[in-house]
Amino acid sequence: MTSSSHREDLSALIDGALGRSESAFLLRRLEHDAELRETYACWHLIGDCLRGSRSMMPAPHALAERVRAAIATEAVPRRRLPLQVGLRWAAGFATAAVVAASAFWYVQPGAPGASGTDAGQLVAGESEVTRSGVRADDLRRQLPLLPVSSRSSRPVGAGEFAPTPDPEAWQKAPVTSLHYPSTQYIIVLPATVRPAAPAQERPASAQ
Amino acid sequence: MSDRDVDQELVERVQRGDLGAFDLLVRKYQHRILAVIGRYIRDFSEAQDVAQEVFLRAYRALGNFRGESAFYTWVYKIAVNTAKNHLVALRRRPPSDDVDIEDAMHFSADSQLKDRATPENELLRQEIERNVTAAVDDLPEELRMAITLREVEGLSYEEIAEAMDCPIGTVRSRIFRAREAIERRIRPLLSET
Repeated sequence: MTSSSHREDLSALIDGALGRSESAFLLRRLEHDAELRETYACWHLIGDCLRGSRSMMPAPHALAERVRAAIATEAVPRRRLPLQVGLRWAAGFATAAVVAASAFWYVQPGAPGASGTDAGQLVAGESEVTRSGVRADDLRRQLPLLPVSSRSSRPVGAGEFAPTPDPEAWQKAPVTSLHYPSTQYIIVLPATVRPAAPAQERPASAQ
Repeated sequence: MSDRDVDQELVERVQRGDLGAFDLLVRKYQHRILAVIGRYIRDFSEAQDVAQEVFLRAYRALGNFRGESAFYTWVYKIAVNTAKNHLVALRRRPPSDDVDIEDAMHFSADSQLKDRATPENELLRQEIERNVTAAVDDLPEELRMAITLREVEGLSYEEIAEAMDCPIGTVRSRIFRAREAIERRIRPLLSET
């Protein structure tokens, strides 16, 4: 049985004069109260009639029921993400990737042993950021010739070389330590040595 | 919560999988949509079939509805297109005097509806109209004024309270009582539909 207070609230709802929470509650109730739903349809018909009787044509009860039965077999019309929003996300990711790559583009070797012209300018040709679930050793196996800096219990010191299947190759490339305790990523920086001035010789320790 | 907000709330509920919310939208707009379709399609049972198709199409397309326009304006466009397509499919020509979309919210079928509706349905519509008018005329003055200012003039409760020099709660109560009185008068007619 629909109470009088619910009917009065319904009248206010139709006039857009009911608060948000009361409206939400009443709409929920409407879905389960057939009598109140009939009243809702009737009062809308009265309003349409008062505003101009020819703008309405009384619909038979069966129409709403037919529509209800027809949509029962349909898929739920989920709200689709507009294309613009998707592009905005993609643009955001692209920007973040570019900024991250730029930040590591030029890396200075800080170790005394690698100082001077032997190290030259370290240039990262490309970088890869991966979840810390990937072990650094796995990455090293895939990139045997590249130095690896990782978030580990002991950061790789400047000028040190991470273990590699090919120590000789590793020794030819300088390594820069990158330790980010607050992040959860391993940052792999495949690096190449940009040759310094042709006249300068590489120190023996770097051979 | 404005009328448009209520519609938007119902649309979002439908998008979350709530079929009952769509039923409320159908019950709210079915009379107006049927009148719009009646402008194109003379036969009432055929118009009902098209109305069902309109709401079905609206339901399927609801995932794309972002609330940039009022729900009724949106479904009105679907109704016009569906009715026209229906006529084209039957090799019948749609009427050339289309209603502009800007007038959708205030659409009145005027004489066309009277000409095109089937006699028995037009009779029912006239009967409802007559009873609503009579019920309003029979209302006590304060109730008649309140419901007229709300439904015909479109004033808010605050504006009606100011015009009638009474509290908003009284306005709310008067409009409610007016609706109940009119409903009692036309309910027997609606059960015939």
